[in-house]
Amino acid sequence: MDDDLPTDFEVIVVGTGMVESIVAAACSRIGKNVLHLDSSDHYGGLWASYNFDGLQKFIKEVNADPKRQWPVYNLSEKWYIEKESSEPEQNEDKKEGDENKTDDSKAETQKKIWSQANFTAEYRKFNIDMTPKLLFSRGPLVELLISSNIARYAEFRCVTRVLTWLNDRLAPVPCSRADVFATEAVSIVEKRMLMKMLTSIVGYNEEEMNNEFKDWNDKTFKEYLTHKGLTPNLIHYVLYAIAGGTDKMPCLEGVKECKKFLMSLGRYGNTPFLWPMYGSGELPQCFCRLCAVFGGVYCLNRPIDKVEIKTLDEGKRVVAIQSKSKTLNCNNLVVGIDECPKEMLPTEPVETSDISKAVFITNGTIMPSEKEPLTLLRFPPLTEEGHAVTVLEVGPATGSCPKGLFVVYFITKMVKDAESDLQQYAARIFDFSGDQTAESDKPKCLYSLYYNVKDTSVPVQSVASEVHVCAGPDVGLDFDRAVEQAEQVFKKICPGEEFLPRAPDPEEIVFEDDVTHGPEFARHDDEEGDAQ
Amino acid sequence: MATNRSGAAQRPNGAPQTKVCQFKLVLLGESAVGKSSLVLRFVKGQFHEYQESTIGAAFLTQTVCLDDTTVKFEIWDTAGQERYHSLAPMYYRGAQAAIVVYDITNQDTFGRAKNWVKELQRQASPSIVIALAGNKSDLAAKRMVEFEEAQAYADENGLLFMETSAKTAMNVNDIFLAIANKLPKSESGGGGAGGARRLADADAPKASSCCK
Repeated sequence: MDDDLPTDFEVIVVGTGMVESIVAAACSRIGKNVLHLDSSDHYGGLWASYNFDGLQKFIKEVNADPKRQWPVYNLSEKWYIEKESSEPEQNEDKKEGDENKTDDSKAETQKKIWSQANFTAEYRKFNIDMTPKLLFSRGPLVELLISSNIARYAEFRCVTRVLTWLNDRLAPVPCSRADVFATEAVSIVEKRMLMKMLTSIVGYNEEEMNNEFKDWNDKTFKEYLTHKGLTPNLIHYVLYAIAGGTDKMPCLEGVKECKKFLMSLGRYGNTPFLWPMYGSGELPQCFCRLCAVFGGVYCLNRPIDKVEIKTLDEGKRVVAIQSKSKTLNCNNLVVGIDECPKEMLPTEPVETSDISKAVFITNGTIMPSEKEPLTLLRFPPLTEEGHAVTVLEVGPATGSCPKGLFVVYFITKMVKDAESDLQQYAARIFDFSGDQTAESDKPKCLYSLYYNVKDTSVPVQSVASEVHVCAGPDVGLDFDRAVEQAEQVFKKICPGEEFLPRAPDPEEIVFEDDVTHGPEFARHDDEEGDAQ
Repeated sequence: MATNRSGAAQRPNGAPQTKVCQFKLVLLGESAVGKSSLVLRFVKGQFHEYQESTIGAAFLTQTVCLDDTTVKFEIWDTAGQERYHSLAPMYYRGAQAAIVVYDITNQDTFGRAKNWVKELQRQASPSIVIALAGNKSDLAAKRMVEFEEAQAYADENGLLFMETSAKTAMNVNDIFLAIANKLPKSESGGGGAGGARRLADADAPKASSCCK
C-alpha cells in the first residue's frame, strides 16, 4: 500500500516514542521535510498506551520471541477472577458496563462482580500505559505544550491528591498552604516550622550558592530536614512524598525536587500534577499531529532493515535507509534507541540500572473519596536495599478503564525483578484474594502484570554524526528528560533555529488564496506598493 | 467535551444572548475524496480545483447559529496522516461529531468510508454524531456509488447522509447544519471527558505559589 512513499527527505524519524515525536514536530515546524516511520502498527513505541486487547497482544508478542532483544522482559501476567461470570444471567452484555441503575432489587450500589469475559467485552475502554508519567504544572513539558500551541490537541486532568505510606497506612500529604493549615495531622508549631523551611526551599537558586544551602553539598536531605528541627512526620512528608526521595537522597537534589513540586502548585489544581486524558501515550501522538499538520509524512508498519552512510561525488554525505526493498534517503536520521540498527550504536554497552514496573487493575480506589480520585502515592523504601516506589492510580474519568475499575501503576528502580521488587508494596494496599464478595477495606486486585524494562534513558552517541539516537523512557515521574533530550537533538540538526515556535491559531491563518490571484506581474506591483 | 460559555455570543446583528456550545468535529475518509475542500468551502466559502493541503491549517473553527444556540465547530482535518494508514487515534478522541467522506465516482472510497464508520462506532464516544458525505456530486456523470445504496447504508447505521459538492457548494452548509441540529446541547455536552481541561496561558497565575 505504501509503495508510492516518496524517497528523499531532509529528516527521517524512526520510532514514535516521546523524544522522536518531539524532534519530528520541531523539525517539521520550521519547514524541514520530514518522514516519520514506526515498525509497529501503533504510535508510541515503549511510550504507548494499549487497550486491553492490544496489551494482551503485546505480551504474547514479547513472550513468543524471547530471542529478539526486547527492551521489555520478565513479563508475568495473572488473573485473580473467573474466566466467565459464574453468577446467574444478569443481562450484562457488552453495551452495559455502567452501573446497573435499573437493578433496584439489589441493595443500593452493589459492586459488580467482574469476570475475565467482562474485560474482553470492554477491552476498548482500557488505555493502559507502558510508560505512565505525570506533568508538573509549571514543568518544561507543560510550558512547551502551551508555547508551541500543541496543548490544544490534548486534554488533562489534575491529580487530586498525593498520598504516602506512613506508620503502616496510607496518609494524605498536605500539598497547598490550605492543606497544611487544614490538616490535623500536623500541630501549629510544626506548621510554622514547615512553612519556614518550604519558603527557604522556594528561594533556592543553583547559581547563587551564597544562601541557606551552601554548606549542605555533601550531606543528605534527611540530615538537612532534621537539622531544621522538623518532626519525624514532617520529614516523612517532605522527604518521601514531596521530594520522592530516600534516606540517602543528597540534600541539594532533595531541595531541587521540592522546589519543582512547590513551584508547580496553584496553577491548575490542588496538587502540582497533571495526567493526560487517555493516558501518557497520547502525548507523542500530539507532537506527531503537529508534524503532520506542517507537512510531515506518516507511515506506520514500516520497519527499517539497514542504515548506511553514503558519500556522494561532491563529498556530501547522505543517510540511506533500506526499508521493504526501498531506499529512503535523508540528511539526518533520528532514531529511537529500540529501533536503531546495531551497526549505528557504539559497541560498549552503557551501564544502567533497569526499571521494575507493574500494572494492577482493581475494583475500587485505594482510599475512598467523595469524587473520583486521581492519585500519586509515594512509598518510602520498605527494605534496606530497595528504592522508593511511585504509584499512580487512575480511574474511568481519565479514559483509562471502564466504570467501576481503577488502573494502578507501580514504578521503581530494579533490584531483583519486577515481581520481587513490587509485590510487597502492592500487598499493603490491595486484597489479592480474588474473592470479590468478601468484605475488605482494601480494593480487590482483579488482574496484575509485572515486567522489567531496560533503562535506555542515558543519551547514546551514534557512530555517525548524521544519525541521532533518541533515549527511551526513564524511571522518573515526569517527561522532563525527554523534552530536554529532544531539544538537544533538534539543536544538532537545526542549529540556530527556534525550537517549536508557536503554531498559529485557526483565526490567524491567512490563506494565500484569500487574495484573488492576478497575473504574476500585478502581484509584484502590489508587494512593492506595500513596501513603500 | 462541549464547553458552554456563559458569555454572550458575538453576533453582528446584536441578537440577544445565546448559549455557545463548542464541539470537536473530525473529518475521515480516503485521501483525495475532498475532505479539506469541504472544510474550506464551509469555513472560507472557497474551492480550488487543485487543492493542496494547506500547511498549518488542519484545525479550523466555524460557528453555526441555531435558534437559541450558537454551535462552534472545532474542525480537525487529518493532516494527511490517513494516506499510509497511519492516522493517530488521538485524532478522533473525544470527538462529538464526524463527517465521513467518500467520492461518488470511486467505489473503493465508499468501502473505506464504511470502515471508518465501523472504527468510530467501536472506538469513539457512543454519542458521537456521524454524517456520511458523498462528495463530488457535481461529477454525477462519472458516478460509481448509487445514491440509494449509500442512503440505505446510512439508514441502517443511523448516520446523517447527503451528497455534497465542495465545488458547487451543494449541501456543504446543510450537512454541517444538520450535524449542529443533531448534537446534544446539554450542559455537560456529549463527550465523556467532562471536567478534563485544555492547558492555556490564560489560566496561569504566575508564581502564586501557596508556600511563599
